[in-house]
Amino acid sequence: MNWTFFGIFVTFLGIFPFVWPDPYILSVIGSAGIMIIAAISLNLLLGYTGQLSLGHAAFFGIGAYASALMSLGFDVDIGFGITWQVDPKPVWVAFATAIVVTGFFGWLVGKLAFKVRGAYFVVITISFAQVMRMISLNWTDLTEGPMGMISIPPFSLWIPGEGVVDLTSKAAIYWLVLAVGVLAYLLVAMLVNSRQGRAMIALRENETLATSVGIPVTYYLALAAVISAAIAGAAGGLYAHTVRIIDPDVFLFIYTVTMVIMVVAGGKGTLGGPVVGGLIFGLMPELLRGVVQPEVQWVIYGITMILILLFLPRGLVPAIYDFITWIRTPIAIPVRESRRALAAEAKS
Amino acid sequence: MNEILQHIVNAMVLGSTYALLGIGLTIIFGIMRVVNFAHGELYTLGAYVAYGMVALLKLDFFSSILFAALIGMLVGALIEYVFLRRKDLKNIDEVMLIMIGIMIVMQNLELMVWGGVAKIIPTPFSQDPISFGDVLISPTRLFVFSIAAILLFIFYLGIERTRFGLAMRATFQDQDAARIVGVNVKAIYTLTFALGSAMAAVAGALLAPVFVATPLMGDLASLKAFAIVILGGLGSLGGAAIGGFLLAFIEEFGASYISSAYRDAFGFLVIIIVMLFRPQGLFAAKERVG
Amino acid sequence: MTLAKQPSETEQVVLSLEGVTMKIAGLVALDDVTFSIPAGQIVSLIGPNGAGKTTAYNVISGYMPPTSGKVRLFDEDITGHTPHSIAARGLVRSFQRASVFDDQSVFDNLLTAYHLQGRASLIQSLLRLPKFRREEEQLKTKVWEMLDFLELRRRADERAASLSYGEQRILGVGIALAASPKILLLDEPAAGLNPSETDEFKAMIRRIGNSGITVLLVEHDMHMVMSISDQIIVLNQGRVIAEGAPKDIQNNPAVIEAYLGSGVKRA
Repeated sequence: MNWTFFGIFVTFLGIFPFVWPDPYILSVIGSAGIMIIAAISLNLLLGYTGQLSLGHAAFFGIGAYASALMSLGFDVDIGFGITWQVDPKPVWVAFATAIVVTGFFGWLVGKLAFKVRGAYFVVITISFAQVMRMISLNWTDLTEGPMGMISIPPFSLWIPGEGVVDLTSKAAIYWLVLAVGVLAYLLVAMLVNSRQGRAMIALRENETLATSVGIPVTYYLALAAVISAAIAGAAGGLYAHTVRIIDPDVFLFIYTVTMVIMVVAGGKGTLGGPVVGGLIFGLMPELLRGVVQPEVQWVIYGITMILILLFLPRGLVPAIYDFITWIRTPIAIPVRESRRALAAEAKS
Repeated sequence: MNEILQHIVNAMVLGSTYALLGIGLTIIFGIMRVVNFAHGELYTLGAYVAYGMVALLKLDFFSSILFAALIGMLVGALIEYVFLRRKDLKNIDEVMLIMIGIMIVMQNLELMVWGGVAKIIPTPFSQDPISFGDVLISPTRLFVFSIAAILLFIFYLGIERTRFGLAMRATFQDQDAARIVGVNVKAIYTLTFALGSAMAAVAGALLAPVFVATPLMGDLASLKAFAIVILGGLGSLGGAAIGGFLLAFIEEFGASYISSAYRDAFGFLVIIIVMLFRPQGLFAAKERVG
Repeated sequence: MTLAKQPSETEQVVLSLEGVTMKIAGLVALDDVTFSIPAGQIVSLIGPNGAGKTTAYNVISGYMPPTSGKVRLFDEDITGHTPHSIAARGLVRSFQRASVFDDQSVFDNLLTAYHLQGRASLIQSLLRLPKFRREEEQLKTKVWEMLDFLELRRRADERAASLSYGEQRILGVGIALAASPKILLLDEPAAGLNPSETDEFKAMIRRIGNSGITVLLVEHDMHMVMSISDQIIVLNQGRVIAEGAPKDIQNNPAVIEAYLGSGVKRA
């Protein structure tokens, strides 16, 4: 991991709102940032641990709903005459709880992954997201159903000299997303460059060999799932308290697909992949907005993903890296010269 | 009692088309190990072809089903030839993602062409239900069931009695061994994908007048197809057929006696439950490890 | 035919199989197999193709639970345990195919394999605490030492799949050794190697044996088997048909009969 490049990039992003304070631009980048955090989380599970989880929107949605519910408080009847009542909690507390709750669901999914593998696991993860969606649609007592939840309180921060400030301006949201994004990125970077990270990668590369040197499969799959889900839950929580309206559509397969395209196109199993993929596919809708219909946009995304999978299967970041390496490699020695060199060697 | 009979009749109708859908995916998944996310889109395509033929071109319903099958076959063969040939199918993840890409493209093309409003396909049959005692069945549904049952039977004969069927079953069991005895595995792959897609398209065309056609129905259809494959157990064609009927029964009775809002969720719940307790499906023999 | 060398009181039994039977899809792959491996020896497991050697390995190392019978490691019953817990208890197996992490560098292959020798917890790793940093340095030093032992130092940065076949097999053994086994199971290490590579391999196996690690070897190359083994166990059609020192096995009529017609070189 290149710290210099990282440092420069983060500083640039941090200064950006001073350079270009246009709230619309900041809000677009902020939204893209939330998706990038989700993509970073998916990359850990899909790219580094090799588990094709296609229900990741479920974790995003659980994070969003859990945080919203905790911050608004709720009072539901869960049958048998028992009510579950929770008072509204401060937003940061709700946010932290949501991350833990989502992590727990990630653990469940991780445990399940050990029982069923490959294509069956993919189908289960998709089903999981759909079931979550149906629950959020139908358990109206808790989630308000298709109307969704509104008036979700924003984050607030104590700033010296200003007191407690609600983080509602586009710039504030931008910096909030940037901060969480940097944390998520660092968390994954530290993880994958450690013994635990090597174990996860080993499971992706060759599980049989990995177990033969003592790497426990369920433990690391579950660990990857927990951390991945927790980060996705954080993205969902961010979404809930910045957009401040959520509905069951957060569980739609289309959001999972978006994250998948970002990770796969950017480069799965690389640190920069989800960021690059997220920037491209997070900003493209804005660039194309008004120019082409959403359906056409999606056709373009679909075709882009197919082309990348067919011709650049490792993604853009590795392709760019290979390209740079290729440029810097000295041009091959012409044949006659290499024969002369070998002949000279043979004589000596 | 009559209510139960009515539900059974409805479930049989639904189940016969689900069986077609499920068997189509089973042969693709079983022979090629491709997780075909676009399967539901072929189903949708079949429904829209039927709509186009009947509502716009004013052709009769029967030939529209034939057309749906043909177009399904063509599109399936095209997908296999253009996108899957060049990929080593062992990269399961990448193939899956390619199929998702195809699904996105097909779905949105359909949205572009037909718009998002549901289309109703008129049927040539009268709306008056035929009654067997107190049990009612509309002529349309009776027709759907008959065609589906006939097609299932033809498929069964084809798989068991023809040389193609034999080649397909051989490839299903062991593609290397099949190659060695001279089966043209590449051609079988194309045939499999085309046939599986055609079956999905026919299922869509058959069910279109029973329900309605919307561009997003593919998502659910894909998931249900997977539920059927999982219920029946990978590799079991008979299991997939039974799985199709089983899912239909679960949906029909679940929707009436548990909750109609969650009707479509039953497929997903089935998947999760079967995966938890019997991952090899209900019918497959235990697979050898190692 | 003299009896197999029985473990004396001073010799420890590292691995023993007791009545292990393995039925797969109606076929009896292992039929009441019983043998024991004493500490510090190099033991070869031989037999014609299909005799059940790989199945035996799968059962021993936890990849396949046996239909019946027991596997004991240092007297502890490990029957049906998971491969990783068996590795943690000191039995490591290498593989004939897919024996390396293809897309990783040789260095990373070994660094990953030293997994069991790391103790830093998740928090220590994530926060880059001093214990983590020290441990990473120690592990990396061990990797360099292993690279020297394997004579693969100059290949450290290359992708494992780009190594020659012989080098990959050696790396595979290195990966197994990194897990600090007390007993090492090798699966046809000499398969596909040319004579000079085979000699290097033999030397390496001797070095491993001399360092106190018990070695169990499945092998078809009879020259290697006869010259390197302290003891030989012969399987045929899932049953143990002979056990003993190399010279006894060479002249054993049952063994000769089992091999007739399989086209294997006589030693």
